[in-house]
Amino acid sequence: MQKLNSLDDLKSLREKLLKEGVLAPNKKRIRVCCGTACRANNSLKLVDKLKKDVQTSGVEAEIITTGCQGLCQLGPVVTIQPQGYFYHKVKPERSEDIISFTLKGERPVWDLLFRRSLGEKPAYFIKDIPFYRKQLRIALRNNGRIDPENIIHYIAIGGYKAIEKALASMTPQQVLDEVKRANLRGRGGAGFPAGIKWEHTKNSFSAEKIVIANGDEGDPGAFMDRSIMEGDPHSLLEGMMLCAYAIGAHHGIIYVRHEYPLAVKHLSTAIKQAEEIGLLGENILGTGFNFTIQIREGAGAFVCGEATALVSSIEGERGFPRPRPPRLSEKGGGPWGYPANLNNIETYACVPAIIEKGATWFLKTGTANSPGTKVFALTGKVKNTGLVEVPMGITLREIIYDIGGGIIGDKKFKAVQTGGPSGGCIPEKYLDLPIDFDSLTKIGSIMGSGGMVVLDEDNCIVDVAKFFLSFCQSESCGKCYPCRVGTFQMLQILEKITSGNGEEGDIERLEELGNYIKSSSLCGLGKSAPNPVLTTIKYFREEYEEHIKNKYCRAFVCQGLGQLHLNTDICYQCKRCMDACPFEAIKESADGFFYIDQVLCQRCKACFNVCPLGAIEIKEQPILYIDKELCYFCRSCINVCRVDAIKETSTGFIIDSNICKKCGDCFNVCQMGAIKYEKIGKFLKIASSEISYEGLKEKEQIPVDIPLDEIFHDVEKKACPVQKSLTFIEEFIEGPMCGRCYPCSFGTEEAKLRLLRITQKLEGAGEEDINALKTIASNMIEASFCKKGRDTGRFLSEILSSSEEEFRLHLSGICSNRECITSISYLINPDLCIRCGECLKKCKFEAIMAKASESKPAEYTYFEIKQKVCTRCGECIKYCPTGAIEIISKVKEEMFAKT
Amino acid sequence: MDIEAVSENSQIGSIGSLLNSKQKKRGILIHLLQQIQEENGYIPEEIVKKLSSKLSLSMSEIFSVASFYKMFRFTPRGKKLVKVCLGTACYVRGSKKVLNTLENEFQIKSGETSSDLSITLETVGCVGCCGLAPVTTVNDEVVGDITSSGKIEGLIKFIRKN
Ligand SMILES: Cc1cc2nc3c(=O)[nH]c(=O)nc-3n(C[C@H](O)[C@H](O)[C@H](O)COP(=O)(O)O)c2cc1C
Ligand code: SF4
Ligand code: SF4
Ligand code: FES
Ligand code: FES
Repeated sequence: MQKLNSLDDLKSLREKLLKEGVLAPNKKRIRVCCGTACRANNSLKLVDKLKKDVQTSGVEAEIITTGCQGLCQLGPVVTIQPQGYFYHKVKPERSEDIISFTLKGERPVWDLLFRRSLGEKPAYFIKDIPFYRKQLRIALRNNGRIDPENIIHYIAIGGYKAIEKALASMTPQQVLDEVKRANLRGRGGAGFPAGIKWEHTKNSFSAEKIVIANGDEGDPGAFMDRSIMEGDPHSLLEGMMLCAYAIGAHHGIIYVRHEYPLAVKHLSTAIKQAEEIGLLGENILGTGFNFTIQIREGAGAFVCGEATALVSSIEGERGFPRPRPPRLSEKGGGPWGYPANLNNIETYACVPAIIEKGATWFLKTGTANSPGTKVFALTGKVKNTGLVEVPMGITLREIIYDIGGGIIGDKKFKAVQTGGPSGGCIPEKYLDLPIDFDSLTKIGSIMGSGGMVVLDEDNCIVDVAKFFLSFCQSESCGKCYPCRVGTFQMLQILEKITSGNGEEGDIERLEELGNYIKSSSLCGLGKSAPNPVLTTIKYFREEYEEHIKNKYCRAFVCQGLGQLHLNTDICYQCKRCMDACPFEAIKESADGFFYIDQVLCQRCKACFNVCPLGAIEIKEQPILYIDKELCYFCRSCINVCRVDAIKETSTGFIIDSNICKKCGDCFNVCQMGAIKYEKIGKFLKIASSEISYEGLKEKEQIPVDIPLDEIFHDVEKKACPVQKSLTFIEEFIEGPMCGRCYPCSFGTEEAKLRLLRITQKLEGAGEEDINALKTIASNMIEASFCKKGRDTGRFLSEILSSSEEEFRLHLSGICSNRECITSISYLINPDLCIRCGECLKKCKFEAIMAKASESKPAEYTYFEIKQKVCTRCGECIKYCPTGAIEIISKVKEEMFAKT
Repeated sequence: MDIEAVSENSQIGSIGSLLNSKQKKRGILIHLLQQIQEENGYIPEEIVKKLSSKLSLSMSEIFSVASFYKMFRFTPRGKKLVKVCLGTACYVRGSKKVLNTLENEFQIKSGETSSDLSITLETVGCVGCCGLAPVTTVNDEVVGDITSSGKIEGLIKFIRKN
C-alpha cells in the first residue's frame, strides 16, 4: 500500500478508485455477511464455495465479506449487485444456483428471497423488507456494504472524507463546535452531549490527553457496538481521529470486551492498514497532526464498562470504579492522571457523518433534544430480531410492529425492556410515545446502550426483573456494600416471591431497598441495578401482588406457583414432550401412561409449548397433608419422599409444603389413606371440566383409564368369545379410539366387519376371517402409538388364541353360549307353555302366533314363533312366567327336527 | 513465553511515551496475563512468580488483579474448551441435556478438565446466538442448534477431532 503524504494524495487516491470502479454500483458483486451470527451459520464456507464457483464459471463478479447486515436471525444473508436482490438463509450448496440464476441469468433465486409467509409475494430487494424499510442508517452506514478488513473499500465509499475536510479547512475549535451544534448525545448510556464532554477535556490543563472508545459492551443481548467494530472499524477510527484533532490528543485507546475476538481482529487489521497508508501515526497526511490508536482487551467484567472502572482496568488494576470528581475529562481523572475523553463506539461512529455533512444535516433527523439515530438490538418475543437503526422520535409501536413484525405467534404484548440491566420495563400504554433520551427517562427507563427486549403475555414480569437483577448482583464489583449486599437481599426477596413464599410487605421492602441502593452506591451499576425492579413495581404492581397473595403467576413462568400436568385422556403418546423436556421429567408409568414427575419438573413449559394436543395443563398446586387420626407411623411416606419433605415431629408426621413437590408418591404409598390433599384441580390454563391427577389416580378413582375399564366391564357380561370381541371392538371404536394411527383405526374397523361376518355367518365367512383377525391384532400390538390401541390388540389376540375353536364353531353356525343371534332360534317348549298369551301380547314384531286346532278344544291352542319374523330381541323371554321360551342353536334344532 | 525477555515498551505501545516505568509495568499486567493464559490455557503459579519479579509487583497483587476478572483461570485447561450455553433461551431448548450427554461422554463434570487434558467443560451465560439455541462453543467456534440426537454426536465427534 502506498503511503499517503498529503491531503491531495488522499483525494487523488479516491479519484483513482472511482475511475477504477471500486465498489461501483453497476458491477456484479456478491456481498456475504460474515458477522458472528452468520459465521456460526457457515457463511465462511459459503464464501469459499462462491469464490471457487465464480472462478470455474468464468463470470466476472466480486465477492465481499461484510460485517453484520442486521437480520442475523435469517443468516447467512447475501445481497447481490447490480440488481440488489436480498437472499436469506443461504447454504453453501446454493452457490451454484446463485451464479447460474442471478449472475448469469439475471434472475432471482426464488426460494432464497425473503417472504413473510408462503402465500405472500417475496421481497426482491432490501427496501421491500419491512425489517429494513423504516430504518435510517447513520452509525451503521457502511455496515454490510464494505469489507471491514479492506481500507480501500472504506475510502472508496467516502471514508476519511471527514478527517480530510477537518484537516484541510477546519480548526479544532470548528470541529468541536460542529459536534456541539449537532447536539450529538452519548450513545453509551446516559446521553450526555458529546460536544460538551469534548470541550471539558479540551479545556482541562494538560499537555497530553487521551481519547478512549468504550467497546466493553456487557449488556446481555446487546451487540450494536460489536457490529460496528466488526463491520466498519474505520468509521470508529475516523471518529476518534476527529475527536483527537478537536481536543488536541495524540493517543487513543479502544477498550474491547474480551468475548469479541472478531472485533479485536478487525480493529487490529484496520489500525495496521491505517498506519501503513499514513492515516494514523506521525504527521498524518503531512499536516503535522499526530495520533496513534491501540487496543486494550477487557478480561470479562461488566463493571469495566463504567468509565472510571475502565480507567482502573487500563491501568492494570482491579476494575473498581473510582469516586468522581475528578471526572475523566479533568486532570487526574483519566488513565494515569491524563484527562481523557471517553465515548461509546456508536457515538464516535456518528462523528464522521456529522463533520462531512454538517450539523444542520444531522439536526434534521430525530427530535429537537435528541437529534440523529439510535441503533437498537431488538430481541425477545418479536418475529424479526436483529440490529435496527432508527431515527430518534420513532414510536415503540413502529419498532416492534413495523420493523419487528409484531409479537411471535401474535400473542399479546406485555412490555418492552430497554436499557439492559440498568433500564426499565415500559408497559403497553407508552407504545405510542416517541422515544428519545428524555422521554424514556421521564417514564422511568433509559435509552441505555440500546438493548430492547420485547416481552409478551408469556413472560412473567417478576421473573424478568429477577433475571436482570441477578445479572447486576453477580456483576457487582463489591466495593460498596449497598450494592453488594443490597442487590443480594433484593434478589432473595424476589426469589421468595417467585417460589411462592412471598409475604405481605415484600413489595414495600423491595422499594425501600431499591431506593436506598440507588442513592448510596458509588457507580452507575449500583445506582441503576434496582431500576428493572422499581419500574416493574411501578407499572405491574398487581402482578407482584398476585404472586404474593394468590400464589399465582399469570404467565405460568415462576416455579413453585402452579403445576404442570399431563392429561392422559388427551395424550396420544407422541413423545414430543419427552424429547422436549430438558429435565427428563416426563415418564411412562408401569401401566403405560405418560406422567410428569413433579420432582424433576422445573416448569420450563417446554412440553406445554410442544404438545400438539394441549394435553399438558397448568393447574393450581394442591396442598398435601397427613391426617393424624389415620396415620400409624409406618414411615413408608418418609422413605418414599424424594425431597425429604416429610418431617417427624413430637406430635406426628407433617409435610413441609415449602419443600413438597406434590408428586403424589406418599399418597400412593400410604396404606392407611392418611395422606390427603386440598384444592386440587383448579385450572389455571386450558379450561377443561375434567380433573386428572396422575399419581393420585388409583385411589381417587379419577376417570383416567375408565374408558377401557368400562369396556372390559361390558365385555365380562358376555360369554361368547366372538361376542366379547365384537363388543370390545365396537365400544372401542365408539369411545376411546382417536383414529390417529392406521393399524388401530383401519384395523378395528376391519375387525368389526370380520367379526360381524362370523357372528352372523354371512356369506363367504370362513377361515380367512379368523386369520385376518389375528394379523390385525398383532399389527395393533406392534404399531399402535398409544397404550389403548396396543391393549385392544392384545385383548383380541388373547381371545383368539384361547378360544380359536369357538370361533371355528361359529363358522359352522354354532355358538355354544347361544349369544350370537343368527345361529340361534327361539322356540316355545309346549310342555312348559301354559298358553297365557303374554308373549303374544308383548312381541313387537307379531312373530308369535296362536294356532287353534280344529280337532282339539280351545285350551289346546298351540303357540308358535314364526322364525322368519322373529328378531330374537328377547322381550318374550322376559315376560314368559314359566320360562317356556328356550333358546336353541339352529344346528341342534335341525338335529331336534330329525329325531 | 519468556517473561524475562518481555519488553515493556513494545507491550505498552505508543502510549508508553507518557508513562514512567512503574506505570508501564502495571499497565501491561493484564495484557501479559492474557497472553500467558492464551499460551498455557491457564495462569501457572511459577509464571506468576517470574512475572512478579519482572514487574516488581508482589504475587498477591498479581493474583488480586487476576482473580477480579472472570476470564482468568488458575488450573490447567484442556486442549478443547467446550462451553455449553445455559442462558435462558438455550436452557429451555434442552441445553441441560447437551451438558449431561457431554458429561457422560467425557466422564467429567462441568467446570472440570479431563485427566488427559484433552477437554475442559464449562458453562456460559449467553453467547449472543440465541436464535441458534441450544448453543455450544468449542474453542470459540460456535456450534448451534444441537437439538436432534444426530447433531450431538456430530458435536462429540467435532470435539474429539484432534
Ligand atoms: C455498569 C456500567 C456499565 C457500562 N457499560 C457500558 C458499555 O458496555 N458500553 C458503553 O459504551 N458504555 C457503558 N457504560 C457507560 C459508560 O460509563 C459511559 O457513560 C459511556 O461509555 C460514555 O459514552 P457516551 O457519552 O458516548 O455515551 C456503562 C456504565 C455503567 C455504570
Ligand atoms: S455501586 Fe456496585 S459496582 Fe459500583 S462501585 Fe459500588 S459495589 Fe462496585
Ligand atoms: S400427546 Fe402431548 S402429552 Fe402426550 S406424548 Fe404427545 S406431547 Fe406428550
Ligand atoms: S451476523 Fe449476519 S446479519 Fe448479523
Ligand atoms: S441463551 Fe444461549 S446463546 Fe443466548
